[in-house]
Amino acid sequence: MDFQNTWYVIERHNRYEAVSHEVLCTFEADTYVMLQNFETHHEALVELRRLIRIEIEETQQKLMSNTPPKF
Amino acid sequence: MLQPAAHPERLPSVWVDVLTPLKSDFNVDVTRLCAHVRNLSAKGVQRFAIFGYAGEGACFSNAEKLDALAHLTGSGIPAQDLMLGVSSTTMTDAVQLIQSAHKSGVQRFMVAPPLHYQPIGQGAMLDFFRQLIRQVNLSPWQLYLHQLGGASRLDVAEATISELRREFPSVLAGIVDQDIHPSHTLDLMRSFTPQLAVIPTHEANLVVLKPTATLSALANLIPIVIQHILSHDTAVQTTVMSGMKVRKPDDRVTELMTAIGDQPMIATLKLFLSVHYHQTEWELVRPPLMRVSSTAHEPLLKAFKNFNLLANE
Repeated sequence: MDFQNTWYVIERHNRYEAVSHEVLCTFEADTYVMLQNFETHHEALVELRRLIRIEIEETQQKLMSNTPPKF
Repeated sequence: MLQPAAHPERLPSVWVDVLTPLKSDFNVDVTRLCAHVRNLSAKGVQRFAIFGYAGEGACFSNAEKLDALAHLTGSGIPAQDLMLGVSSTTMTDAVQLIQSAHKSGVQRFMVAPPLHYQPIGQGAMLDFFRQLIRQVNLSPWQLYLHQLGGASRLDVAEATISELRREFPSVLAGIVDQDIHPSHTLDLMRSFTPQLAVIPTHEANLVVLKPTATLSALANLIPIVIQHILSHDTAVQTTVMSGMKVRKPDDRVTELMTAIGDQPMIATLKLFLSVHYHQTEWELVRPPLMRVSSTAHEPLLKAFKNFNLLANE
């Protein structure tokens, strides 16, 4: 398969990013975790949005569980 | 390009025993399957066995396998990079699957001995494979005998393999050994290499066996580690701090096996992939395969977090 014009969703420095193959090649090998590869930028962005939404929901749940009960 | 059966030792190295993602109705999620294979391909893996042992091959019909195959090749995965698992109780089904998949360009088939109500004798086993090869009657195609391990009592005996090799040298290309005991694989290697490729599947044995190829279920998660083991690289860590133990590739295999523990392997690997991809659907296995129990769920998630899948694995 040819990945030259594809896009990746990666996790880097505790953040999700959508980057092109060209950009990914400039990163040090052990500085990111490759999550998924996509044919188009649009698909990568859809996945990026989904992951960020999950993070937000999980953070909300954590905050809710840490909130002391109101009397 | 397909290697001739006469030189099976040149078979490219790591074959991922691809896990099969399911939808909530337990049908194959072909979109997710194509994406997973694509992701593995982006990590440098080039060979994929679909519907093998880890791919829950015995749980799917011919039609489901062919549909998934069509989606994979349609999404740009070259058919010559695929090996298809064939595990059918009836010869006609096995023949039909091989012939249909061959039309899509697949030339390698991993065929398991048929299941029957009673143990199958080696004479009957020889007849089954002999008739299967004759009825498939294609050129070129390669058959890999899928040895399911001692406990299954379904192994094809060495004498039977020798006879098949003698009768069909251009078809019988190798043996995929699912047995966890290295001595089992070693015996096969001593008897049949280099005439046949003997492909172990138990990653913990790779360092001892030093095979030229492996079929790996763990490669669904750590394909680069498995590649390192096969190429006898010593370290996968690129960042080394003084005083810190440098983990070797086989250490990572041990750590992942420890994280899996005594839980059902396929379900556990799917659970880990669901975490990696943040897709809960990946957890599903098709009945009658056992799911991860509710009590084991949280400890496994914790174990996978501690495993800490690294960037270059």
